[in-house]
Amino acid sequence: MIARQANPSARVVIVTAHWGEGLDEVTDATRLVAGALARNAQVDVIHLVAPPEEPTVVDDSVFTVHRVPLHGSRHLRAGLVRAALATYDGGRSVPPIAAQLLDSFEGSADDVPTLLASLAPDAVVLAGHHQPWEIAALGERDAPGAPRVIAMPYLADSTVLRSAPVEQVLLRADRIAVAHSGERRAVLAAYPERAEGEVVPIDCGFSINRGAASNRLFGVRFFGTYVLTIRSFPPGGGRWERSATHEVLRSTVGRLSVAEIDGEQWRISDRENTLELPVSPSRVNLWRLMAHAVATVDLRPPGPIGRESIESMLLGTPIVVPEHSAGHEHAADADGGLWYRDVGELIDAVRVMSDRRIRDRFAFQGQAWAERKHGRMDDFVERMRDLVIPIRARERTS
Amino acid sequence: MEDLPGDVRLDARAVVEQLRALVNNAPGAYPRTWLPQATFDELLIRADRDPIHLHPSLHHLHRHWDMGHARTHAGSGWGPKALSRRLLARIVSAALDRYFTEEQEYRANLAQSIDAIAYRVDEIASSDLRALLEIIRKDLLELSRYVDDRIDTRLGDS
Repeated sequence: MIARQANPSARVVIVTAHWGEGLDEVTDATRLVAGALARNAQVDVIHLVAPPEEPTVVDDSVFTVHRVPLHGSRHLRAGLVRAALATYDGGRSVPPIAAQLLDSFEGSADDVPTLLASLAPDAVVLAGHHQPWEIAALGERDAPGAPRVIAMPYLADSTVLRSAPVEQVLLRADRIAVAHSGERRAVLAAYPERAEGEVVPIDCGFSINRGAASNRLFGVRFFGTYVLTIRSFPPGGGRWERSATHEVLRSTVGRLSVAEIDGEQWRISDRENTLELPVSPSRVNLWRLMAHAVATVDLRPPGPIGRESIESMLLGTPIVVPEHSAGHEHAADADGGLWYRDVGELIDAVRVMSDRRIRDRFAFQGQAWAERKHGRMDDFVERMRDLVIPIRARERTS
Repeated sequence: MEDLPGDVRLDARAVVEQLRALVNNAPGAYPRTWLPQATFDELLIRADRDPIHLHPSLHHLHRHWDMGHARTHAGSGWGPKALSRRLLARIVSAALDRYFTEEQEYRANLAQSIDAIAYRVDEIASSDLRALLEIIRKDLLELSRYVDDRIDTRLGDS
């Protein structure tokens, strides 16, 4: 078992396959959590790497990253299975046989327990449900000397939540941190033995550059009132191959213009004209489009966090998002937008948003909720400190 | 949404449910004029010839078949002209109500029929493209298996 260190500063280790230059939301969220923790602790990251390579230690900003190989991983096959699953419903419902197959393709990180023993952390954050190593090495929950364990599964699928590899992670964790209310409900349904207080929201803090966002992108003002659709962002991220096309949306949303972000291709159209927006596909430019839109419509396969939904509400723009997504949970919790099952409902929702009174009400409610839950970075840092770092380690540090 | 009260919180769930109820309970009375029921197939949209469901005349039909608003619009103003116009409209509406109802049903059925034909035509037009796509997809899968096997044997991805 891992013995707690005698070092006076608190030490947190994050074990994750989601680090580095990944485009996925989980990598984003993991870095945010790590950054918040680094304000109050020394943070080491154990990055589970596939394809396997020799273990190395690298400095990444304020983090020390230990790159640990996933032995026996067959990442190409795993990637193919994931892509196939994502084709149908964004990978939300994973059949048990596919989960087993993925598990066998993911390999195992047998070096993690030894590394954890040498780091002797006060707390261990398991970011992502893929943790193919001997979790028993963390010791029993509440056992003297055992580190505090926080699991962040980023998963709202009950089948996978109850699968053996995920079960051992969630049963060992002292706290399970969830990205949205839907994930919380799913975890509590799958693990009724866990007390409600043990499943806590992460409520990631997102910094928005409001000064930059207040400047419209060049040329956009000539298109009047517009709705923003996100088909793919960031570039290279997931996208549905079948969805309402830009032309169909444009011809069906009445007087509104339609701005669209599709990877590196950004454009805006009204009844007669289309302008290709010659801008870099950056997050700041996304905010500049988002801040002046009637609504932000998310056409992407649902992600586990719903970052753009939260950012849109922070900027005072209501959202229209797919049902059963993280964004849907945010819209429902905040009363800051609507959700759709199909293209018909999507266009219904956009037409509702074209009513200024409704739009303003959703914008106000959404912004108030987003500010309270996600808008204050200092609160997020404190939440992460209280969630992850044990009281004894905090007292020792102070 | 006309009767949105002053400062009351707007419940997103209630709005979504209300929208769904409108569509489910009275599909004929609630015009979804904006939505041709045809396929939204990217492949077809990018084809050489435009799909029928994107033809402007079909969209015009979808936008204008519904007479519901014209039939229920009470008019505005309280001058003598407005009042007499409203009275006349009531008399005409009462006298021709049955005719207007039949006309509305006829127009709805006409729009649905043309939409269904457009859908079918687009489906047929896209079937060849889909078959081609399927062949390419199989080839790509074969290629990915081949590459995967090669990596297994050569680079140790096993």
